[in-house]
Amino acid sequence: MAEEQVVAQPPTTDQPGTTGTKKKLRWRRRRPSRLLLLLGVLGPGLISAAAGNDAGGIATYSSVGALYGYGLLWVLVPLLIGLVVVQEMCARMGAVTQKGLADLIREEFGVRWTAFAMLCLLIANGGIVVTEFLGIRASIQVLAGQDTWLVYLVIPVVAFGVWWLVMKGSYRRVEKVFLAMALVFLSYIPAAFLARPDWGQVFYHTVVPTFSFSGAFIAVFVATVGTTISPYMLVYTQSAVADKGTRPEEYAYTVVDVYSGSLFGIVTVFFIIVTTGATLFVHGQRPIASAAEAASALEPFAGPFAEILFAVGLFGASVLAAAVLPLSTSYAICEAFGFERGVSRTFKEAPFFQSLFTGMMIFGAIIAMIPNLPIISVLVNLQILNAVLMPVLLVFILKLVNNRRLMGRRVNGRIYNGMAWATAIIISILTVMYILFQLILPLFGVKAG
Amino acid sequence: MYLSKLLHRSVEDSQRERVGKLVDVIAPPARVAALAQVKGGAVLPTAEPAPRILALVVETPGEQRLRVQPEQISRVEEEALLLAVPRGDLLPDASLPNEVRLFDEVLDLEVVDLAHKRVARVNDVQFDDDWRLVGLDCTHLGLLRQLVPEGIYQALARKFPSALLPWNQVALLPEAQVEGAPMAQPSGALQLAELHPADIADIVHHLSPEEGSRVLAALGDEKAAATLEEIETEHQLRLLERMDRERAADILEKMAPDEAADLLAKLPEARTEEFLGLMEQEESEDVQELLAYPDDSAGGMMTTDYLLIGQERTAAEALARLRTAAIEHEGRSAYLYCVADDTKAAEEQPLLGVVSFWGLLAARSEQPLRELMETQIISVAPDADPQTVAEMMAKYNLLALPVLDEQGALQGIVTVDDALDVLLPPSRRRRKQRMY
Repeated sequence: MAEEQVVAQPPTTDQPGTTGTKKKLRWRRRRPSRLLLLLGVLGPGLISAAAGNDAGGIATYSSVGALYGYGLLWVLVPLLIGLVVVQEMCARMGAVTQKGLADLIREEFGVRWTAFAMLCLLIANGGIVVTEFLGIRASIQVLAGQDTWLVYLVIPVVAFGVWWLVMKGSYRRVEKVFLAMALVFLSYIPAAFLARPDWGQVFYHTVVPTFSFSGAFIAVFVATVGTTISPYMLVYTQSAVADKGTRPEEYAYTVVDVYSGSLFGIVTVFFIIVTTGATLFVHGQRPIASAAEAASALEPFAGPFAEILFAVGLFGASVLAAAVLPLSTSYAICEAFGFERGVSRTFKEAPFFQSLFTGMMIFGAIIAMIPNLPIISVLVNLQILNAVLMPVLLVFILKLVNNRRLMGRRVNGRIYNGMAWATAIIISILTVMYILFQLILPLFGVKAG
Repeated sequence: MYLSKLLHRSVEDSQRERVGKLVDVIAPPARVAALAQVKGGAVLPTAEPAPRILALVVETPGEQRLRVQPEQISRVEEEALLLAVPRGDLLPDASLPNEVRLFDEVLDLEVVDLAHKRVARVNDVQFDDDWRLVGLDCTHLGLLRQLVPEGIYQALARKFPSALLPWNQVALLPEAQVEGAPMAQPSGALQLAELHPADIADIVHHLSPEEGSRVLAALGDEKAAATLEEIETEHQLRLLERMDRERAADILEKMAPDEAADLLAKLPEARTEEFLGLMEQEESEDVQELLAYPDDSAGGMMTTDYLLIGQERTAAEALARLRTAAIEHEGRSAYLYCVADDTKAAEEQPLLGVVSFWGLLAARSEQPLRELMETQIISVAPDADPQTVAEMMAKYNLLALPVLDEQGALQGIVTVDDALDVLLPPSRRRRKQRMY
């Protein structure tokens, strides 16, 4: 091994009295190349964007395709812009301040605002943890049938297993397995082509917006926004960038990561919607009732294996997020309030952290085991919850990123601020419309849609 | 009185006319002298009274900032602070050296709790009626005070007594200098230097690389080097990357050569060369020599920081040599290594024997080392694997193990602390806390 890495051949030591400078000048290890350096900085943006395609994401995008065909494809363009803008702001804050979002909120806004922001984050992320366990349930149901008793066995076992692995500190080692499983969802890309969609229609709907003032439409619309740009992504991106210790000078690499990650995420979404639009929508324009139905969209690609493929991908993505979400939420909250944190701490040393992490896992697992749950609609509704809470965090982020004391000359530019505020305002308007159509109008007997 | 409750309270002059609102409280920096008590690990109760605050900062509706001396306040009421003087007597606020602004620089931020050697977040700051700074509140109660109604808080406060962090046992973290941001005020000097390097390292592990490098930069070269040695390699790299190059090279020089080599081996080649060039020639060559061996071998574990001495020298000479070495922080092991001629380098002659410090202390002063030394040398080859090294040290109860080449010449020594790292399970080794 060592011999391969010899850079300069040393003069042998058995010649006594060898003069000259100190003999050997071999290097111990091959130095990382520029490409490796790039890959080292790459990551947070890519991972967090790819994580958008979890159980909630798949359910929402499949519903979009099944209900409206290609009709909502145009949303992806503004969504991509919003996602890039928001992700980049958080990555920049991480690189410049080297601190997590929760940390910054606490230091700039004090205890009360922090409590409010963290409550929002806890609710949003608690909702997502539930969706991840629902994803695990759905993957079992796809394979073993709608009424299988296996869910009551597998969910607690998986929950305990993940909890145990994380607490043991060995989660990192198995993480890659779930990551690889989640990559199965890339099969939506060939599936989209094999489903033979009308590409003219696809292109038309990507460019020309259509909108409908019906409750169902707005619900699906808001859910799409909520699952694509969600609070946990921002928190994750910022702490991952800060945690990596990305220097402000290396920030260009991080930008590449954020841009490519967001693009990759949205492109995957595009193909999911095209696939489901070309299969489920054509077969009957109605909401999908079960995960098995969503799985059938992969049939053009995988034929009889569509269900297995779908279940594997869903399981991997869900387990991955089911571990990371409670963990990063507990970290953020404990960081903000200055509680002891870390999985290597005992319950006595870090009671709040441990209870929060464990509590979120238990909560997610229990809700996901409620019998006869309409999984797909619960999944979609939890994404809406995310969209509702998103603007709250966005306002905090915008205030922080424009703070010259924190960010120096790396505060937002005017155009950037415009786009970011537009994102926050549009999401707020959408959620207000959703509440109006879904909750308030029915009170007065007005039937929406 | 608590800072969280005082902030934004209205300030009125002697005529009960509103002057503005309270926006900050200025305190003197923590007294460094008090740290003598923390030294050595034992914390003695502080005899000296809590320091009095220097001033309160009031912001007028016109956004003008005024300073109020604590003596100028006549009464603190639920709704307002009453001044004993007319508003014309108040001086405008200006930043002065040797002041700490409690709202700006302390509240809600992380500080180092020197007594417990950990990082804590400041939830509140408490004053007594005489405007003395009683201490920092880093407890959960400090949070609850701001979150729950007064009644519930009072009930809880009775149950759990609040522990305050005295001002003189707190070190503020050095402030960030963000490019293009207004200049930050240099505040209280960094008192961390008084702690043991291993404790400072623990604290640095809790901080972001940016904050950590600022802490290191604020320490002396020796201290910074000793601290850096205690830090896990991956984190070391990040810290070093963030420091001024010249300064980083100075710190590398002061590190044990094996630790410095371990660190440099992980840097990109160009950067390693740069550091080796910036370092003093002698130290730089020591490190280059060590860089030649693979990481997971006796050669990679060893240090060249040993004491070499001619076998004909007397015990008295050896003791004198030892004393000089101790003063200069050299040769951190418990043995002297004997060769025929100590004016030549160790690599050019075989190692003849080893004398332990205890052997030396027991010897007559004119006795030559030749008579004292152990000639049955227990040693390893540079390519021995770390496990073997550790096992040999355990078996023969050694504090350091010489590494010899085929000619029997001393290449370096592996000290017990590095061997211990091999035996510890990975989870027990020092490392930065990770998320999972």
